[in-house]
Amino acid sequence: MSEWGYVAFAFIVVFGVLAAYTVLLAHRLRQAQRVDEALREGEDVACDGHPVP
Amino acid sequence: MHFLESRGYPLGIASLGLIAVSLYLSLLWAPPDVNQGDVMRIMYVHVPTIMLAYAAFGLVLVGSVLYLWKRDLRWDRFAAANGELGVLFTALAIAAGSIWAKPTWGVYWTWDPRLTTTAILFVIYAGYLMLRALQTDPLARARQSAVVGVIGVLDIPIVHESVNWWRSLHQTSSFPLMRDPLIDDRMEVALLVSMAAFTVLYLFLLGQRLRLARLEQDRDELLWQEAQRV
Repeated sequence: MSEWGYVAFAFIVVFGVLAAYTVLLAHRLRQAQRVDEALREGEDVACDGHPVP
Repeated sequence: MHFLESRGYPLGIASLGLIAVSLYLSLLWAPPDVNQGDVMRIMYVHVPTIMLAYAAFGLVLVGSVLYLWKRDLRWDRFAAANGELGVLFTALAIAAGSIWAKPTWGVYWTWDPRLTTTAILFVIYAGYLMLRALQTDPLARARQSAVVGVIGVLDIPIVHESVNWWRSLHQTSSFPLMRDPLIDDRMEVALLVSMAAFTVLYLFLLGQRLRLARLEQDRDELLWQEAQRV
């Protein structure tokens, strides 16, 4: 691989992972907001969080 | 904490703008290194990611100490959010460093003191996140992870000084805090802009992660109240 090939590889890995994390975080936030709203309105919700002690 | 949570939009836009400027400076404007050539440009993502990982674990320490002192779950959430981002940024720093190592040292990985202590740092905080995921009692989780958060940070000075204490393949700091940088002025500008871009991105992600942690805690409390009513 050329020098620029390694540079492109590193930048794509770093910014690709950061973009993927940002999308995942946005998805988790949307899901948490939906659960929060449903709980406040007293609906039944399927929740994949930790069991409440 | 509320400041970061409520500034998602401007921080997100600012980080995108700064990343665009930083990419231009890092890839096109800054000159190649006289010895390493263009491969050195990987430094513009490697250095900011590891510096922010250090900062993240420092903030885990702050949140952990304040939780143990005040017993306020807001500080536990603050430590947890920074812990997750710290692990992410450490992984990115290791990945970028390994890609740089291949054309420079001939291998992606070697058990050099700097690399080994950084890998240990990653494992410590991955363990911190696993402990948080496995412990279901919120108060026990906060207490136990705060202890790990305080102890884990002891590895940071070892990582940082490893290149001075032991014979290491890894170069010493090109950007010492107390002296003039050992790099070209344009490289210095590109590195500073890159650090600013990653810092703003970190603050944006931290704000969103804090919001998520607050929503999850609210959910747990609502479910707990519901369970008590039934």
